[in-house]
Amino acid sequence: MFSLKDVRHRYGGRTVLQLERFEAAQGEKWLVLGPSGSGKSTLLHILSGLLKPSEGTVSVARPIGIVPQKLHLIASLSVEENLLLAQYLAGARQEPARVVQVLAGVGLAERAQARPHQLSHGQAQRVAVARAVMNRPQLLVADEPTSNLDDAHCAATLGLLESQAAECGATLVVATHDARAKERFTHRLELGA
Amino acid sequence: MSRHVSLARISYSYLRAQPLSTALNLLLLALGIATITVLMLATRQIEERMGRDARGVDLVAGAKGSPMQLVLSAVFHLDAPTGNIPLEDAAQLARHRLVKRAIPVALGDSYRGLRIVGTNHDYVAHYGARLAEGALWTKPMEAVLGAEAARRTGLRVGSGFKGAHGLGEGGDEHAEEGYRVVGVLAPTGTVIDRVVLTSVESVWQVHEHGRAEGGPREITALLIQYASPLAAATLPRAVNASTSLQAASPAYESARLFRMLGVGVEVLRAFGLVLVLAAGLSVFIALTHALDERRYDLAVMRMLGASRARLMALLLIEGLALSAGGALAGLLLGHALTELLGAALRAQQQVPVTGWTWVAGEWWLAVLALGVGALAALLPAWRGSRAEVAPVLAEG
Repeated sequence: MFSLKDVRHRYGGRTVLQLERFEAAQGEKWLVLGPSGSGKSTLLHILSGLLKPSEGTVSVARPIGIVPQKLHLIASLSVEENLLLAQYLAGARQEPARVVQVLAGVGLAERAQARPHQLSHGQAQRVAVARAVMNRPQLLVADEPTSNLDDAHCAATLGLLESQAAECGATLVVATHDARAKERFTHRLELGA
Repeated sequence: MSRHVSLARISYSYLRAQPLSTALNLLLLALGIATITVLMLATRQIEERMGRDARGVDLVAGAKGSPMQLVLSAVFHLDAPTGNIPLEDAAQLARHRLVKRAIPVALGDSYRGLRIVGTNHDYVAHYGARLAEGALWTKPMEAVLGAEAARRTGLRVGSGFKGAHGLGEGGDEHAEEGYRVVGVLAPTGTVIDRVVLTSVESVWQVHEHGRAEGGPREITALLIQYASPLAAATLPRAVNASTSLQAASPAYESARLFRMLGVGVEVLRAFGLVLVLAAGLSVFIALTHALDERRYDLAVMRMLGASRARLMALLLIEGLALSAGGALAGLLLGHALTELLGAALRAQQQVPVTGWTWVAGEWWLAVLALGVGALAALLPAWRGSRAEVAPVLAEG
């Protein structure tokens, strides 16, 4: 579902990411581990197409769903509109029925008309996951989804990402420095500082 | 109920999320547009109306004094007369070879603030007025009402009324002589609509007791139409130099009046423009400020697939929506204020002005408002569309 070859990215004269080869097949679950500054976010941004690497080739199946670290829901729009926005901006047909389906999948069927400020952090995170899977992605990436979560919420969040990725048949890539996630992923990529 | 998302919907959600800033921008723009609208509507209507009222009157001859006052009183019935002139002098002038037509006007009394104009049937013909009911006067103390005068007073053919001293409301009624309405004119859209017409003899009869025994008859003014264009060069000078009369040109005096008023109108128009530009600046500041607040939103939208052009359109739509809203509110407010101004002028028997009209310049005003909004949004929109995504998302 994606393939990175001889990828190197420099920022301000410093190499922040260097990867000889990183490939994943459809439906695989990958954990990208590493401390802060190891290039995890840079890798996710390159995979997501938000960043062009300084060198190397990147091949990724689209569409791509992204769960950013800070969630970044649009505060002036309702939950439903935030989800439809993902389809609208991707140039896809807007499907209100898909909103109902996806919200039910993340356990927030009743919160479609809520504004982001009316949600708890856990609910907002589930909405961010729902937004990422609205376009039935081939690749689902999540940046530090478990930071600041207790064990129970950490497990629930990773479970949600896995189930949603599985439902779409998407490859899942989770970047974290949280060692608690290690056991759930058979495929791991460890980046150094 | 499900709703679909669009750039307009997103822009609206942002405007709604900042009600104070949105309201301030709308208010600023609306006030500027309203100011210019009122000036545009009022000056256009007053100019048109005064043009219609003075059409065909080349010269006004009356008592010495202010020429503008003479024109305002004798043609537009807006000011007090400069005095009266001997009938003999007026008759002599009327017979001048350069005078095609001379219509006498005798003023002095009013009814409920409406002027009673002593004249002859030429006055009715001059304004192209037709009778809606009844007939024109044939005897002294018979009166014909202009359409507006009839509507305001409620008088009908056969009604009687007594004139009051003076030209404003509140004068003492003439105890002895009463008028009888014999006709009502159809509306013409000219000054004749808001006066009460009678014969010059009626005015003399009402004021008979005030005239010295055997004293000369007087009228207030003569409305003169030239027999040839040559008269414009010679007749006013001849009248002013050789008789006790004063000659004033309605066209010249109207133009002079508008020149004098024009300074104030231009100042107000400039004030309106300053408000519109201030509104543009305010929209610019609001959108620039919004860029900082929305840098994450814009980054997320790019992350979700929005093109730079789409982000630019989003911010442009916001500026245009503000300016369109401000323009619409300003035009509505301007028309409402003009109607209020018109009501006040109508109450004082002044030149009628209404807000229920549209002048072509208002389209340009709307274009100006939209242009200012688009211009104010252009730079923030461009900056917003160029923002990098990855560094903003990486900031967290």
